[in-house]
Amino acid sequence: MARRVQHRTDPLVKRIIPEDPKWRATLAAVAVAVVVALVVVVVSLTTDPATVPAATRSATSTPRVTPTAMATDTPTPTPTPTPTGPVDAIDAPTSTTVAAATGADVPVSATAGGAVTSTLPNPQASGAPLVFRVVEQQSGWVRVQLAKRPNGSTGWVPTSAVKLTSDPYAIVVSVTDNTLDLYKDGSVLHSYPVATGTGGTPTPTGRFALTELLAPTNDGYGPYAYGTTAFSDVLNSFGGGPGQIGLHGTNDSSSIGSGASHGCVRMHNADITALAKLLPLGTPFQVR
Amino acid sequence: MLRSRIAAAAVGATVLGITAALVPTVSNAADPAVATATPVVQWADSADDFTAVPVSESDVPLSDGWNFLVGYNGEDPATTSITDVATFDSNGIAAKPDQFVPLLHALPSAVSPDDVPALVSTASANVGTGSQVGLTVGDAATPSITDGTVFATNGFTGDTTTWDGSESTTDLVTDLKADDKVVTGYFVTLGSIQLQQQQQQQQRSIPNAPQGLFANPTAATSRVAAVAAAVTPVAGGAASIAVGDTTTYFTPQPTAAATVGAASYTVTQATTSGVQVTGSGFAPNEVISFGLSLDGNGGELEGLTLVADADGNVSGTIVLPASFVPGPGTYSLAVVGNSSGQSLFTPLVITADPAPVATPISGRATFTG
Repeated sequence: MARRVQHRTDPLVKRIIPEDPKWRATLAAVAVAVVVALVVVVVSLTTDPATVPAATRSATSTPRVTPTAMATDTPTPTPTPTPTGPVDAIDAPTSTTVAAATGADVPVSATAGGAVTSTLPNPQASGAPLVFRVVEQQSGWVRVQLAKRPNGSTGWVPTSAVKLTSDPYAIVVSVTDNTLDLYKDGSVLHSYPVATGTGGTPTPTGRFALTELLAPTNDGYGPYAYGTTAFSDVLNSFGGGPGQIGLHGTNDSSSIGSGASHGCVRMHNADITALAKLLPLGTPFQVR
Repeated sequence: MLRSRIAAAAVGATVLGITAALVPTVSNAADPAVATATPVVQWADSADDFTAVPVSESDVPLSDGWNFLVGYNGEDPATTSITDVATFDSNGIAAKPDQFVPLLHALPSAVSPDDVPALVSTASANVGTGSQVGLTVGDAATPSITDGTVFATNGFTGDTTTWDGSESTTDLVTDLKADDKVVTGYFVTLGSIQLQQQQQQQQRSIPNAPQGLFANPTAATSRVAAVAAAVTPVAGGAASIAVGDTTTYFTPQPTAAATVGAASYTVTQATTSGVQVTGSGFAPNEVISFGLSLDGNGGELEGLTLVADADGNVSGTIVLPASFVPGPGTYSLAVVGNSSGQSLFTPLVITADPAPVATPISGRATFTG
């Protein structure tokens, strides 16, 4: 579903994309051209290519405008939207099988035993080891969650290419309550306040997994930042990345407890530090 | 029920399925101070395990397994069961009152005189007062026919065994050679020797009464060396006898059972510190082997063995080869008594190792923030 980006710190965006719904329909025909123009303007004003905002198209080809922002930028908080439709049941298994690549790469197939459709390098581009959350097993094969669009993508990898381990932890984020519940062995171990996405850049809901743990060298993410298999539904790129949803600290602790991010889940730095000492890669990461 | 090494091998092959090349893994091996069980252990604990042989036959073709001579009191061999003349209980087999029951067992192949000392040196028996043990003999030309006996005067006592009074084993070898005889099997008699002698007197009127078999037993009645089982047979009874590669227990065959020590083991635990196994119901001192399978794939864990104690109990740790534990799952652990052929399966739940805590990588984050 097309959504209008709300980034009130950027007056240009607000001027071009009026909030009045009647204007959206009127301007839809010219939206693509406007977006292109916006890209040109923003690029010309940005010195760090890594922070260049991307004007992208959503999966439904509806024009989207994404903010120019570092992780430290805080979108104007908006009332947390009430999720429509049924809320997914809590995905916090007592134990999750995790598959860590054992070689230089891992072949991925669409079906167990099927032709290889892609090969993923190990370690990942960030240098983190390639680790998957396993969601299904067959003899000699495991189906794993993949960090790719569309959200929920999975693929089959041979067990000969991975080492299977067991993870007792799970994370469940509530976008309604702006909380993160840490589960161990199926029970809540601790609950943390978090910031989730704004109404315009919502944190996508679904069942995901942690894919990497960074000690960021750039500002805004706090001491640690987890990558996840989740991707923004509205930002196809951000800060030089693909719009991947992260779980990280922040230098804007006042935003914690509200819908204030571009889609990532922010935590107090002490809290993300606590998680970084506990969680394996592959840990379930649910947003509901 | 009779068991044999052949049966054990067959069971093992069926149980273990695919055999894979394995690297022997450390296990608690047998205490070298304790002799392990003979290669074959069997139980003769019911009527089905005994074949009646008419006493009127002077030359006895021994059937496989245990035979008993019948007809001393005019019984019909065709309809007589061992339970008509003997009883079974936890102490073994014993003759009923006023019965004399010779039990005979053939060797897999006749033993020449020169090989008799080796045969005797390892023979043992656990019999009650009044019961006797010894060897059966036959002509070297027709070794399938047993036509004589030689009594171990004081039971099987290894190299000091004496025969038919005071003959040494060396003397016995000389006599066997002189008569062109070979050893065809072994025996144990149940009931009092006095009763047998009385019966022998009565049989003088019976045509074809055996002259060689039990015709002139000695009167020695000392209890012979015990086999491992801690059973005290009653007077005139027998608990066990071991000759050659076979041990027979006349006590009730136990039911083998085994369990693993924990509800689950991680892959690393199973392949490094090992899996605790506790079992019972195996043959005394027999070697216990193992197999492991998952989803029909697996095989014998070669080189992984434990040894049962004198009561047939087994306890120890087996370290599984990593090649047999590719990942988590509910495995089937096969436990096989090498001598008795008793085997069973017990589930072995192996879980994945704990996933390691992520190690942070220093780098630029590009998440949505």
